[in-house]
Amino acid sequence: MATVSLTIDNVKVEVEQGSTILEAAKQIGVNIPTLCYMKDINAIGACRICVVEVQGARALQAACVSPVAEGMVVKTNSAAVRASRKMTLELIQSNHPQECNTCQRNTNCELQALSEAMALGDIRFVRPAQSHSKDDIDNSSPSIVRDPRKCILCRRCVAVCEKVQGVKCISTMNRGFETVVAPPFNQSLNDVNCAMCGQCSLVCPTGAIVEVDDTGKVWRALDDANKHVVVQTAPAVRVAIAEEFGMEPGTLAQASWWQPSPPRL
Amino acid sequence: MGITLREIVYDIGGGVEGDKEFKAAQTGGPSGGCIPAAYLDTPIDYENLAALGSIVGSGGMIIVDEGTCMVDLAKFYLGFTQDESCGKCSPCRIGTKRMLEILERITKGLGKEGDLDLLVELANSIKASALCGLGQTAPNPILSTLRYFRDEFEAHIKDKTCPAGICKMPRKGLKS
Amino acid sequence: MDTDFTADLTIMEEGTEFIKRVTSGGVLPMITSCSPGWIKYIEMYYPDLLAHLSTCKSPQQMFGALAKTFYAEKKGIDPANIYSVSIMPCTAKKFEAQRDELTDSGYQDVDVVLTTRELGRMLREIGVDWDSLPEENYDDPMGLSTGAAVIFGATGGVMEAAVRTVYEILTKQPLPDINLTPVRGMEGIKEATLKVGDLDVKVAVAHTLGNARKLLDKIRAGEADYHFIEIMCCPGGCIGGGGQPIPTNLDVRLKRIAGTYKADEELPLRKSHENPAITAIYEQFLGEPLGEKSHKLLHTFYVPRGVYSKPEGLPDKVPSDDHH
Repeated sequence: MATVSLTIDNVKVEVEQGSTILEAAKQIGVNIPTLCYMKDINAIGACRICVVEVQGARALQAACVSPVAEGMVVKTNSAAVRASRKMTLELIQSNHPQECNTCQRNTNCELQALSEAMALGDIRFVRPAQSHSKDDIDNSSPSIVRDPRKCILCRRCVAVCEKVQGVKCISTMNRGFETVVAPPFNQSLNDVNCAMCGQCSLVCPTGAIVEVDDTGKVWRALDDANKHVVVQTAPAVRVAIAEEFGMEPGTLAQASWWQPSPPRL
Repeated sequence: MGITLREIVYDIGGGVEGDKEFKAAQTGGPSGGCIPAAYLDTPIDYENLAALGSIVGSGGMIIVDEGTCMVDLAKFYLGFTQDESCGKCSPCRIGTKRMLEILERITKGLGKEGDLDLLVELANSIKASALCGLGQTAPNPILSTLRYFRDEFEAHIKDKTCPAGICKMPRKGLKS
Repeated sequence: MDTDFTADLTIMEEGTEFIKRVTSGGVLPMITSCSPGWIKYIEMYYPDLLAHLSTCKSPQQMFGALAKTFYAEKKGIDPANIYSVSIMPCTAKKFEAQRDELTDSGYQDVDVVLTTRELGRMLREIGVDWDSLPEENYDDPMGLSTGAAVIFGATGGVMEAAVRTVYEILTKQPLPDINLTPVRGMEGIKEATLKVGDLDVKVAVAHTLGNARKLLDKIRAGEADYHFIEIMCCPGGCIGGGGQPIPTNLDVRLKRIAGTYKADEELPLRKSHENPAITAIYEQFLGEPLGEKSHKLLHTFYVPRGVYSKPEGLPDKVPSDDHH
């Protein structure tokens, strides 16, 4: 294994050749913040949150896509780096609806968490134009809702749909400020080759792709005295639902199991 | 290379049309910058232009006279780069839009205290963090006009006047 | 009640269907049909291969059909008043529940599907205290299940569950090793050859549609000598489904898989055909696997969709002689 040695935040580190600055920094316990990056799926240097200072480079470099080089000197937390990340975050937030409290991903949103961690203050732009409006929300699908207003164009959904599922039913369209992740020709999700698998909703850092919320229907049925509500739970739910309550993944929702008794049929 | 801006404008170009005052030379295309009259005698080469905050870039050169508003000119170039942004990286996609919005407000007489500081902060940040050359150089027209013509920007913001008479400002006495 | 019960039932029907295909020269390889994202994908991209799909409904839809027939009858409830809710790790299940043909009870078999995330939201809304919830069993008559059903949630699980039953039905001998480890784990495509009596059964397991495509291309090219294939749409199987809690990454998937196999090991019964509630439902209501009632309630057909429009030369549904 060929290795490369470099200096990150005054610490010498030796890493495998071909590693990125992001991976190298992780080795010495430096977690560079990221937003569009997703291990093994998406490394495109688009969001520019993971920028770092590389000695001799003309501009800041995106750590998620920059390979290490022999003798490289990297600073991950200089004033220039911190200012740039914060400004980039402020820009992203300036084109994002400020409705976190009512968002499905409230308290479980990477953009929100990053804004909190970076102590992002007021957004200073005056009445910033928004690239998309509520009219652009696509709720045609029985499974998935797409809200381009909340999309930060990290393209993770595009990557998972294309690289993992090979379906490619969403991609970026238009350009510049008008860029949008959508099915071809901006068709509805329900009218295209979407398998409805929802992997996009798992990788979305914000609430731009979420499941259709049907909880209201269930509450109504439960409240209806004439309805006899029957519930079934799938095998995979019992090892995951506890996570919704902050438990470790894989925790069984049923700690002790039934003893076989004659079936009461 | 090596010949001065004055030689190009007055000897080769025959001077400014209508005997108007030379105001600036915009070099290098939309990603370039503006050079004011004080540097007319600078020999043109890569290093000198860079030192002045501009570039050789496309090799193009546009000479503007006293009738041109530098804020309006910066807005024009930024409008071009904003339009050309591919939309992949956030600083360029959103940042050029926000810079353009600020310039649009200023040229409508709606500029406010702090706009120029924010503009400079934004411009420097985009320059450092954008993914490609387009985004990294898009703020140049703003930074170079601000460097030499800051008073014109301030006139728009504080006095609500456009010294060159190009921008439509609200009538005096009206609150913006 | 529990989808795991109908997962066991799926194994009975699907296992019997597999044995029938092998012994009577049916279309092979047979491919599993539990994963609705996978079903929509093959209907769009490989409509010419739909005959390979097991005609078994997914456990969700088997449950739905039985809730408004068997259960309604048992409890003396008008099925019109039954509201059938399923909690799924999956967003595609919402689509599946709305399919026109899945109404064999005379009603929409499943009325609404909630993802794991939505269930979490409902429970938090009413302030459920997770730690103080009492332990309870699932309700009868569709609450009893085996370890074979639990492992449906992990990639390879349906195959393993099917082998546990098919082996014992065919050989009438107990399975030497209940754990079919070659089909477990996160590898994209897993293969195994199993000796079942005189027959060498070749199986393959794929998860993610990207890996499914590789197997389907092999089938199309006539290069697939498998007997039985399990395909799950999502990475890791249903435990990595699109409706699961966020984050769902590789580390989380592995932990959920570990939890799944641990649950299997701890259960007193681990083979679907040993589930007494399954024996009972066949005795009291369904008759036998692939029987008339089973066929009507537990099996279905598929719709060749094509990516943009229905390809020419294909029937409206597969199997085309299905009279649902």
